[in-house]
Amino acid sequence: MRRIALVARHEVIETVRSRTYWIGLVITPVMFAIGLFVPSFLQRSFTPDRPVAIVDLSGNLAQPLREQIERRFARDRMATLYAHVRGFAKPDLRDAQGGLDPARVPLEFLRRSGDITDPDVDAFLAQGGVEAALDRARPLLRADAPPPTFDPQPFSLVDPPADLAAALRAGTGAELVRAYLSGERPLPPAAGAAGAAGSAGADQAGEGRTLYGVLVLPAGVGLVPAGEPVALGLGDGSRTAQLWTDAAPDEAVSDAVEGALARVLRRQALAAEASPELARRLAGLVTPFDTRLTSKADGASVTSRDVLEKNMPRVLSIALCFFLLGNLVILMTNTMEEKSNRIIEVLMSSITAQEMMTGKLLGASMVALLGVMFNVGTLMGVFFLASDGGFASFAQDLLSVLFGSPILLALLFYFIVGYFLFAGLFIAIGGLCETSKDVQSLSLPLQYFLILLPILIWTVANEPNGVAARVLSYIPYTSPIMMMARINADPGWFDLVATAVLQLVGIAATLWLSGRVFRAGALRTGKPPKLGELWGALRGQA
Amino acid sequence: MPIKNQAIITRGACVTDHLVELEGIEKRYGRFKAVNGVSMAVKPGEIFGFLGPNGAGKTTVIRILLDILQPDRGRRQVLGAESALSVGDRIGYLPEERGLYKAMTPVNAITYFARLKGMKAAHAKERARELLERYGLSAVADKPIKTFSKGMAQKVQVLSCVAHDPEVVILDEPFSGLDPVNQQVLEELICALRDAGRTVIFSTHVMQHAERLCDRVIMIGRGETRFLGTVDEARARLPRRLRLTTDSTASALPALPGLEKVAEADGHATYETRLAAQQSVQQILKQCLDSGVDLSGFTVIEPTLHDVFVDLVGEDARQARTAA
Repeated sequence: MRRIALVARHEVIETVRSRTYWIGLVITPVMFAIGLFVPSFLQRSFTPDRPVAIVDLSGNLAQPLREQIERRFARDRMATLYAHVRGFAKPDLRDAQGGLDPARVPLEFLRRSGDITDPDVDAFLAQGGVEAALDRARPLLRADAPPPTFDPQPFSLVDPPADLAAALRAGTGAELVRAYLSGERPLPPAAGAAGAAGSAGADQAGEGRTLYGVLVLPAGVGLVPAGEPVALGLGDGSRTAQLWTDAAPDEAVSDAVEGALARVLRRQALAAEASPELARRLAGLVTPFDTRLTSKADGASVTSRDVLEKNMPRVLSIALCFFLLGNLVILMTNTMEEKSNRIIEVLMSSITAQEMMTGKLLGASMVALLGVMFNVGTLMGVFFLASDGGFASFAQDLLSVLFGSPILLALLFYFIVGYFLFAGLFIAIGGLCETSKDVQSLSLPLQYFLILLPILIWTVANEPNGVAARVLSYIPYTSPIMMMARINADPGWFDLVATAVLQLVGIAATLWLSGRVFRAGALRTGKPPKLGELWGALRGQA
Repeated sequence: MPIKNQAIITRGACVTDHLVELEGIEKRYGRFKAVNGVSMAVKPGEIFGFLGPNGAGKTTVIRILLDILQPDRGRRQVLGAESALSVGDRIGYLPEERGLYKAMTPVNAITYFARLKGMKAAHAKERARELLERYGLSAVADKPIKTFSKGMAQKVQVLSCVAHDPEVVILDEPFSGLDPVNQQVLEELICALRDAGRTVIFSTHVMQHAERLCDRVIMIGRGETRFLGTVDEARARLPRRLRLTTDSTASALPALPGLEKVAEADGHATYETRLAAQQSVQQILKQCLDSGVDLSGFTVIEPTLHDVFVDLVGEDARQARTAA
């Protein structure tokens, strides 16, 4: 036992002392943080200049379309502002679940993006836009609340250059469109200030800029019955709105334009066939809809926290697979290096192969566990910091799920169990090989298994207590990952205990068999053994 | 340093005057018989040489002796125990293929291996520093081994295997890869161990080391024992040779059994003949002088261990090379 402890201690100290270990440890949260924050930082810091010109040949769509796009941009700013208020509201304005208390906070600030209608936007703009809303929100915010950060608009609207508009009206503008979009012809100074002065969507100066897109609205553009050739993108284009760009457009631009145009056309059709009043009234209506869980005693609605609570184990089961794979590959490579360095033989003159393997496993598992705890801790730190920032409510829900359910405990338990289940196999492969090439080819099936397992688990975990999920829970090598994915779906005590027992039996059997293979392979030189020799080793003929 | 051999012998499971005993050891790898009926015994305090060409089975026998490998047949006993692992703290082992943790410092490496052999941490560290100082490595004691030359790393490994002051030291091809200076250092270390009452078993295929160091040797060829005894006994297996250099013709020489010309230069020819055990050198010299042979050289050549080795296992080595 003393020697096992010594080998384990050596494994821990030597790994933790190495620079590569710390680089590997820090890289995961760093990459996560980079993935989380850098894109939005870049988006905010380096706003692309994307002027889009509307050439309206129908004569009655340009202005309502501009207004609708303005609404779209304003709605995004409203949603950001309301999320900011939810994240930085004073504590005394919150209810027991941490949300805003409707009794103490104006309902305006409880809205989310999907709740904001066109009349809401119009009212918001009429009341003075963001500045006025911030004045209204200020009494609700904590003293240390930072100013809200708004995402930049994906594009801006500019008036079309006169020559371009004239050419398109004459049906000869294709060459000119190409010249403007490629930058061959820059926008003239006159091409700016589209829409109302001072509006957020309008651009104030056009000189020297390159046009990003040209939206051509032909005279015949309008709603068509679904299934007509023109609705399927066929026809001569005389009834189809066309967004011209130099390269494939950003979806944020095309979606915003298409969505705004559809709203405008529907409203115009409704106003023409019913009444403008009805069209205006319908634009301000939403459908109250709620999903409720029987598991909630008070019959409360499903919240974003509930959705997180359901999905988080699935996400973590995937993370578990990758945690396992990363750490097990390190263990296998280290073992291979010890074998090719001939250290194993020195060790085997002092301790048995089984003791050495156990010591290495214990040490490596401690190192791996340390790494997982460090990563989980750092990620939680990132969420904790974020809980006071831009995506506050998501981060708060996430932390609430992590601390309010057995999820973290399960992650640690299933990591340890999963590690020992697979570690014997990986260490045996490391003990059989002397070169990275041999290690790679021999471990490939196992590595593929751990890479493909999350895909299987993700699909099956849609029904966490279904037949497939339960079957996978009772197969030792899929059990830890499957049970991790099921942990918040109330799998029942029987499944929890029975699968844990099976996993432990699986560990014992795997370690016993891999111990034999390890002993046979450790002193072998040259190529890894053939299947027949492995079979002999398993039967104890080493 | 007190010698503990007597205590070992009496407290062991098997009362014997040998520290290490192998009897009828056999080991097969598939159809290949690597070791076939090897028996040997090593006495306390002696330096025992394990001699044989490459692939003769020396390493396999050593691994079996250390309980790293299991024999298919035969009996073994080390320090009174059937398994060397149960008395592993009293054995030091240097494998043929050297290996060290390259990121470790020599102090930490020696300390770690000594601790695996049962030493307390503080004592092991103190001992590591003492050994490094004694063998000229104190200046690099805290530098990573990956910065060392091969010879320095090998020295560290040898020190790792003796740091816990073992009663039996087993060295598998300890001289391979060492330069002549470090070979000399290692020879001195082995002699120092013997002087301290330790038992040393080492394998080699370089006979000069065995000749200078060993009290007794075993010669193995193709897994079988070809010789077991003292170095003198080994030498005695071959007859002495007489070398004559003369400018006379062969016909002028007295009739000597197996006389053959081995070299010729500047009008002088060199002849060699085997000397029978009872044959008198003085009598041959007298016969030559009486026959008027003009001798410019007259030398009696004693057989070396190398000669014995070539005679006993040279053919095995050649066959092994052909098979490979």
